[in-house]
Amino acid sequence: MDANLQAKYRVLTGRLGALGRILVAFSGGVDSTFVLKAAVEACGPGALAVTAVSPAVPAREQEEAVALAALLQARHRLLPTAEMDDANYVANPTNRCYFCKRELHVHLGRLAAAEGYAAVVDGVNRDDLHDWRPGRQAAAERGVVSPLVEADFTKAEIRAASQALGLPTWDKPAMPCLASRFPYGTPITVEGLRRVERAEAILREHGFRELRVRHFGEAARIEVAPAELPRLLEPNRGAAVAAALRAVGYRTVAVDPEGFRSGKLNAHLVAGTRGAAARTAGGAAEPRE
Amino acid sequence: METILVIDDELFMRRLCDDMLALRGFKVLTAENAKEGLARLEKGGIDVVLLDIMMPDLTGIEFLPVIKKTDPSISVIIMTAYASLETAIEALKKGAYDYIRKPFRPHELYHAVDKATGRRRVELENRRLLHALQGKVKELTTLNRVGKFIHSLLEVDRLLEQVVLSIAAVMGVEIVSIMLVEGETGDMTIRAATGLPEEVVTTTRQKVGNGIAGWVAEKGEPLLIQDIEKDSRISKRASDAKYRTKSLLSVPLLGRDGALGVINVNRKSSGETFTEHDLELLTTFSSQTAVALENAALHSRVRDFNGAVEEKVRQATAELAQQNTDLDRANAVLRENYLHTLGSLVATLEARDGYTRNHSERVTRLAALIAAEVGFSEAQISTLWVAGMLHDLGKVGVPDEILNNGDRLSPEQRLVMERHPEIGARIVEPIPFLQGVKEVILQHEERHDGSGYPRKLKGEAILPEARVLAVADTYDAMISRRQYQGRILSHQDVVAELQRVAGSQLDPESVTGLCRLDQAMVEALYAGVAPGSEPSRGLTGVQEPPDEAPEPLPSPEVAAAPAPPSGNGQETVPCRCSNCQAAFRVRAAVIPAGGARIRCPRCGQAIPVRSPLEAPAPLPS
Repeated sequence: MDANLQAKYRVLTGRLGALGRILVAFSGGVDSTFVLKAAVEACGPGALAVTAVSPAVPAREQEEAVALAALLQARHRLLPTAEMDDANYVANPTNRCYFCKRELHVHLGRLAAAEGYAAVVDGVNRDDLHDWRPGRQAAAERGVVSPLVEADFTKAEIRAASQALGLPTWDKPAMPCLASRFPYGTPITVEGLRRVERAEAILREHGFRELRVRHFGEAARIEVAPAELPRLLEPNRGAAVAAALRAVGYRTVAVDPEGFRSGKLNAHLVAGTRGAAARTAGGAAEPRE
Repeated sequence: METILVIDDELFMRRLCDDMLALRGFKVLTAENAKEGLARLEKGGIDVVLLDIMMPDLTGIEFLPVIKKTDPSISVIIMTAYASLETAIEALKKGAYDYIRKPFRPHELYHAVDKATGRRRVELENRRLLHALQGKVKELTTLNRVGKFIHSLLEVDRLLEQVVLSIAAVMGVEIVSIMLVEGETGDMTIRAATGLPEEVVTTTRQKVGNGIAGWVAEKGEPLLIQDIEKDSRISKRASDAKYRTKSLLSVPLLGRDGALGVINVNRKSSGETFTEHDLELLTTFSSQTAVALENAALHSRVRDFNGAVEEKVRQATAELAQQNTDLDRANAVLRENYLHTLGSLVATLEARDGYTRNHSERVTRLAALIAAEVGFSEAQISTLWVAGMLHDLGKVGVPDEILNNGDRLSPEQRLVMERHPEIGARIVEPIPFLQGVKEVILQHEERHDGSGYPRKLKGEAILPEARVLAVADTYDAMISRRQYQGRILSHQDVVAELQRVAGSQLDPESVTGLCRLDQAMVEALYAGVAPGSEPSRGLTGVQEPPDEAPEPLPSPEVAAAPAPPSGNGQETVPCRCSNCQAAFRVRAAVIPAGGARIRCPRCGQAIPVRSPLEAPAPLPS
């Protein structure tokens, strides 16, 4: 870690230390893993990592969160959230993330009050400030502290510092929740979420790393990195993937010829541009966690 | 009366002593040699021995240590016909109490025996006292043990949490839980865990004998399951598909009276199944933990203690433990409430004066960044953080007309204003955990050259935290002031001014720290906290979807990223805010062909921006 990052890291741990007992909203992603590392360092057993358990989070990611908390020697709990019971969320409006995060932060706030934690901290960083993040409003309403903003960490710096600290998440791709595969206005269902999860798992088994399966009810549209498109379209593989996706419940399987826009997910690209250029012409970066 | 043993090989001497001592009321026993004497001694009850030196089997000198060995408190009087000084000294050295020379007169014998029995009485009294003392010590030890028991009960949860983390780290597993048998119901509940859902931790109850953990607790035997699906011992119902656990280990925590509970581990990080080696490792952990628990006297020891008293102790300590936990939490809450209340006071204060809005938060964050730059420790930064948020707290005592009057204060008004560090310090005075913070608040208006207030401290006499805070405070005041003086002061302008007063008004090292900070970083910090620019609030109602939406809409919001250093190949577009006139730059690459809206980093106003490829250049900066 260079001197600049070290200084910022001291601001981060100093800030968390000033809070003393904290709940860390921990998804297992790049940002919250980094915050958790600093929290364990600054607060020891006063830090409790809490991971939301939701049908919109793939089981694989939940397991990863558990493994990461163990690696960081953090106290950890899984907290089931009930956003699927919220009609506002299920209707899938453009500010769906607000309702999900509101549900999460209400739960975290209760847990903090019940067990005497000074604050809930999240992994929002400086680059997130400029994005369309309805979820941040929910956090702001509940007085959630964003120590990475306060210590002035950009996404690229978080990745660099994570690498220096030996965190396995330093180059982890963004992992927006499965609800983001549903076009706005298409209701979110548990069944649909499971179908997307299975479909993406199938593609992952075929060796694709960066991919999305967009969920249009009975139709699935596959996005993979443009460079991997030819491999997806190999006659045998294409047919096998299509058959497997039909087996999980899709009637129509399409492939997006533009492929998945991967620029925003590449660590080195992000690192080179302080995050801003990681956004593409399409607009703001995807919602996280 | 005392019992006297006379050991002499001459019958005449034995008879003589017997008669004379019996006349004095002593009980007298006799022996004609050392062997017989020893046999008598071993029966006990002897207070004083009259011992002849010259005996055929063993001399008195040789026999002395043997007597002393049977009971060191017995007084021995040597009788000798050859009372040389050497013999007497030799006898006294070996522990004889006195000696008399044969032939002796009755009063000589009486005198010696009276002295010896007197000593014996003192000896016995001492012994009684010692015994009583030892009883007391034992009592105290027991009390001490109970104290430790209370202490260890308080520590038990912390201990178990530590064990859970150690197991997870050493064995490389993701899910660990420790279940203990509850005294009242006999059910097992989870006392410490990692990697489990909240609801599982709080609601799991397992009867001993039921389920996997219950089986392990009942049998007191460990269980290694390599594949739960295939293990015939386990009913399918017990298989926990939700956490994809196929392989698991469960070992009992064995106390003296049976299982105290069990330790369960699931899921190796490596994905491998558990082996006999893992079982051994976990068994080692469990035996250590069981010993610790026994020491903590949580279980069997409580039962061993007799009944109701111990049950009361247990209840009292459980209450104490609960109170202690509650106290910890209450303290954390109290601390937070204090800070929250004081923070609200500061917010109210800032609301009274437009320009100071969010001033404390900005100053704090800037001060923390400077502090880190000049090498403050984490603890110092923590103190600075709280002190920064509260540094102007004392201004609640300053009337509005003075507070809002900026620099145009009369000398009297100035005096009132300058009391704010002391008022602030006095507000936090009664709060124990804010003592370090108090001094920083008190000193934040001191100046490097001693021209500050209230105590006119100089240079190193001012706390480093207060020196850094003063620099951040001054920077913020100057940058914020540009808004109502109608003149634009750039970061460079302010920094140049601060450098000018470094060494006089301000601490030079802290100013250097500020200068070394990345300008873009400082400006971004200001963009993030400036009034009205809270991004989520600023964006309420704006309906641009994120990139993840399958159908992106036009005119997205883009970031007003700080201009990167020139020459890095990234083209930027200058913009000016239509609301507050702030000038800033946007990376051309982030503006899509159709144009976008950009949020002013200072005031949060959304303003349109066009792509440089298709439009005339926007307003120059």
